[in-house]
Amino acid sequence: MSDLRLCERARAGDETAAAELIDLHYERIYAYLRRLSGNDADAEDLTQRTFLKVWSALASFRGHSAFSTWAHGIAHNVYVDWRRRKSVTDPQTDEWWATCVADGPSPFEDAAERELAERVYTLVNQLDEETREAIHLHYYQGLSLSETSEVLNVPTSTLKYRLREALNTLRSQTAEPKFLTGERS
Amino acid sequence: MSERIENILRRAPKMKAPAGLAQTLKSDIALPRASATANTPDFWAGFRRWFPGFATAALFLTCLVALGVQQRVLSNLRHERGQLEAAASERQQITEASRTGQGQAQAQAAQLAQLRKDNAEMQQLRATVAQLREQLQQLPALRAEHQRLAAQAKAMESNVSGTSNDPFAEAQDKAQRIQCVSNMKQIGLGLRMWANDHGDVMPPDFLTAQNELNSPKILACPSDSARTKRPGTWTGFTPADATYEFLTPNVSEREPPQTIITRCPIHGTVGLLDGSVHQNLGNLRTTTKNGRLTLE
Repeated sequence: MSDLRLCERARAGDETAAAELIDLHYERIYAYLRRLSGNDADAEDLTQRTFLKVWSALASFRGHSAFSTWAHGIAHNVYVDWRRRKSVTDPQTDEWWATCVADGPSPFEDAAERELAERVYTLVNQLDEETREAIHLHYYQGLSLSETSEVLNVPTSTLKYRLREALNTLRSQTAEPKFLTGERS
Repeated sequence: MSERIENILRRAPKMKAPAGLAQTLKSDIALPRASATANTPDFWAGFRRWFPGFATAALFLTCLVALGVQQRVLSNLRHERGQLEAAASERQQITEASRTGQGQAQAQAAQLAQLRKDNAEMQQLRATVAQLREQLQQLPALRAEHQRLAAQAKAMESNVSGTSNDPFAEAQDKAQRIQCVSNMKQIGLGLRMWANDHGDVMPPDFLTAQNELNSPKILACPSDSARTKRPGTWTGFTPADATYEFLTPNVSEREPPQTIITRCPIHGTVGLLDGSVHQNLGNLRTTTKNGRLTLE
């Protein structure tokens, strides 16, 4: 059953449909908030807030965009409010990303690739807020450019500019011979 | 390098949600009430579906209303224009009537002036008629005077024709005429002296003024042989003993100076109120004014 149909049923008061929507999307929302918030407890709390807002605002969902995009927009606003209240500046540390890369099922085949990934992820967290959120949504969450621009409420051209600037920054700061050649020192 | 970084970013580590989170989220589901959530979207969905039609219909109706209003305004304007044109035509007619009235008024004014002028002429003619009637009343007296003078002239001609061949008779007649003028001057002077002493009023007769006339001989014309033989005293004198006619008894001396106060019936000599005596009248003629003879 499509997300739109599930939403219509949920608007009609069908909690089964709402539960199905949770099963379909809560992991992605949680992952998005987990990467941004930097810890499990805050991520769980933010995820709960996000879905509470989803249910309260479900009547205003028009179906112009995908439910996932709409939910990401709500999660983004919840995160911004939470961040503004807590004045969080640097939620993740290099060690966390290193652990995250090493512990999980790593897609990187060799140590050099893994080292480069750790470096890139660390640098992403050092970018400014707007650029970092664009990286998270477009690359980490896999949203398209239009979906990402809709979540951030910015034009697509602005989003492209931000992503291009981010890639230039990451490339310039990772432009060592060992990274470019893939050779180990 | 950019593609490599992008690949790394896309292969970011997956975040595994903690166990029990899904159950927690499901337990927190708080959906709005079905009735409210069911009606509102349907209403808005229907509104969105029919909005283009409603908008077009509203636009069409608005255009119709505007067109109707414009037609009404246009009709009103046409009606007002017709009224204004009628008013202008009426005003023009009134103006023309006023001009015609002015022309009639001018004609009436001219006619009135002509009537006034005619009336003045009528008054003048009436005055002339009254004067003519007055002269007509004096006509019998003038005729009698004319006949008397004509008789005297005829008598004188007969006397003259009888003595025309006698040079002594002519000299005697001339001397008598001179004496007659002298007598009348003395009589006039005496009468005026008497009037000065009696409020500028002439005496009722010659006898009353006997003190100023000195002798009754001056009352007889030298040519009147019957009266010249009378004694030169006032004793027994009667008005019939005087040859001269006293024409202004009891008349004020303030009458016109040409008023004739004495006259000689034989020679036609007249004495005036100013003291002068005229024997040969020439172009002068006697007229009657206010019942008195005057010399003009």
